[in-house]
Amino acid sequence: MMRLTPTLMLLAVTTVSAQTTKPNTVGRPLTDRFPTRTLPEPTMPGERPVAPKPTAKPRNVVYVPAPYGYYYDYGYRQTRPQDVTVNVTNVIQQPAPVAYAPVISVADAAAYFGARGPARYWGSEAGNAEERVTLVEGRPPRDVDLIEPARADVASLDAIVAAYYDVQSGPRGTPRNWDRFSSLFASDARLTRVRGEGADRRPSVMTPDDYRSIVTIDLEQGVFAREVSRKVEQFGSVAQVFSTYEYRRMATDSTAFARGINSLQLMNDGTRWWITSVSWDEERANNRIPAKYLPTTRSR
Amino acid sequence: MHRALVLTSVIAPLIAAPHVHAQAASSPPAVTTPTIPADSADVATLESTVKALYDVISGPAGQVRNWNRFRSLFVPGARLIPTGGGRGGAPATARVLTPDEYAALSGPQLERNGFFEREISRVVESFGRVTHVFSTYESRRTASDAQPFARGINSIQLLNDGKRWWIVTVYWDSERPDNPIPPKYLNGK
Repeated sequence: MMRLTPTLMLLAVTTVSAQTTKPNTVGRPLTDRFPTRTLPEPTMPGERPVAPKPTAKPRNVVYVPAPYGYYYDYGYRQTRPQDVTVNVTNVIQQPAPVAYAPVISVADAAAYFGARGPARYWGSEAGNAEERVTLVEGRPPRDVDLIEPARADVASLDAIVAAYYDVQSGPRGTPRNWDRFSSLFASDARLTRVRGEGADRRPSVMTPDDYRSIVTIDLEQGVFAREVSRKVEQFGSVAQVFSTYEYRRMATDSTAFARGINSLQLMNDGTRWWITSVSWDEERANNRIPAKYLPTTRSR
Repeated sequence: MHRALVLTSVIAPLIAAPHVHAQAASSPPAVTTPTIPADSADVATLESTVKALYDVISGPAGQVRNWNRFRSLFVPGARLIPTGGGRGGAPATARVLTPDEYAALSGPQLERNGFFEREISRVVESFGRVTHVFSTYESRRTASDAQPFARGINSIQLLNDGKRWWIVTVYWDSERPDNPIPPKYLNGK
């Protein structure tokens, strides 16, 4: 991951400002920023993309998974996940933008970064190890400083759990707000589960970014997550929640298509709540959710 | 205003397109093989795994702990997170440690002063492959001390992959005058 120092950031800002020929471009349609001709060759998820040959004709294919932030036509997702390349008939052809150059004065940028101190980004494990030195003495990790939480999301345990489900919910084809998702987590947070079946079962440990990359396609099929029951233990700043969830394709569906339980560990530092760890398992034919983790008929 | 401007216009184009792939390629693998095999008796059940966790850090002054046994209980990427209440209204703090870092930071103290920690009460929630335990502990300097010098609660998250149990997170807060352990987590003690 890129680890830009504030100085480098300023440099980048300065350079693009100097080349600016157009007025403020903020608010231009998203399609302008990502011209279709730059789409890489399709690859399987996880594969390194191959740079397109300069002489090759542009092909009418869609890259899967579409990275967050791309404009794409989502009608191609009739089946999944074996769809790797799909002919697209209604590509919106637009001329490539001349140069995308945001207009930000150096003074503005300096005021912004200067006031907030060094910007830090979620980094690799190696990068985190280096930063852990400061985490040891400090407050809960603040790698996601640039992504400030909505205060209402982190004001209470109820609110942060509700936000965790809400941010993953949305209709088919709608990108999720992953900044809001990240803002709920302490920066060293992990999401873990046991994946695979039979002898292939093995634990999987993910950062919130890893999680995003594996669930984006599934969530954008249309998922409305809802908590139906929980058990909470709390002591001091430590809380753990055993939270039963249901997934629906549409908010109005009467039945859920999937259920499971999240084990959430949370921290209340006195000013806000953080998610420090999430582990989960899904309901399967041989792994039914016990009645004690389901709502009673009366409480429903 | 400045913030929104900078975020959308500088960072998004820089990281959006090509770096999505670079990021995926360079991010740490989700699964790695543990380098230290566990004693199957330690990780066969939830009971034995939690017992081993308390057991392996306990011992008299001067006894070197078996840190490889300690490491073997944890899933690669596991963390230990002690928290402490903020003084005078300051926000509470948390340390995020790997098992190795815990051994390096706390190990010498435990071995120098003697440390016996045992579980006195527990709440377990378990479903399929995921389990968490709210485990109240008492710490003593020697096994025969009448009174513990510290108490607290460990929130322990575990996974069971069908072959063994793994500890994912040990996350705790300690008892203080302004943070007494609620009776329901004391099992009558």
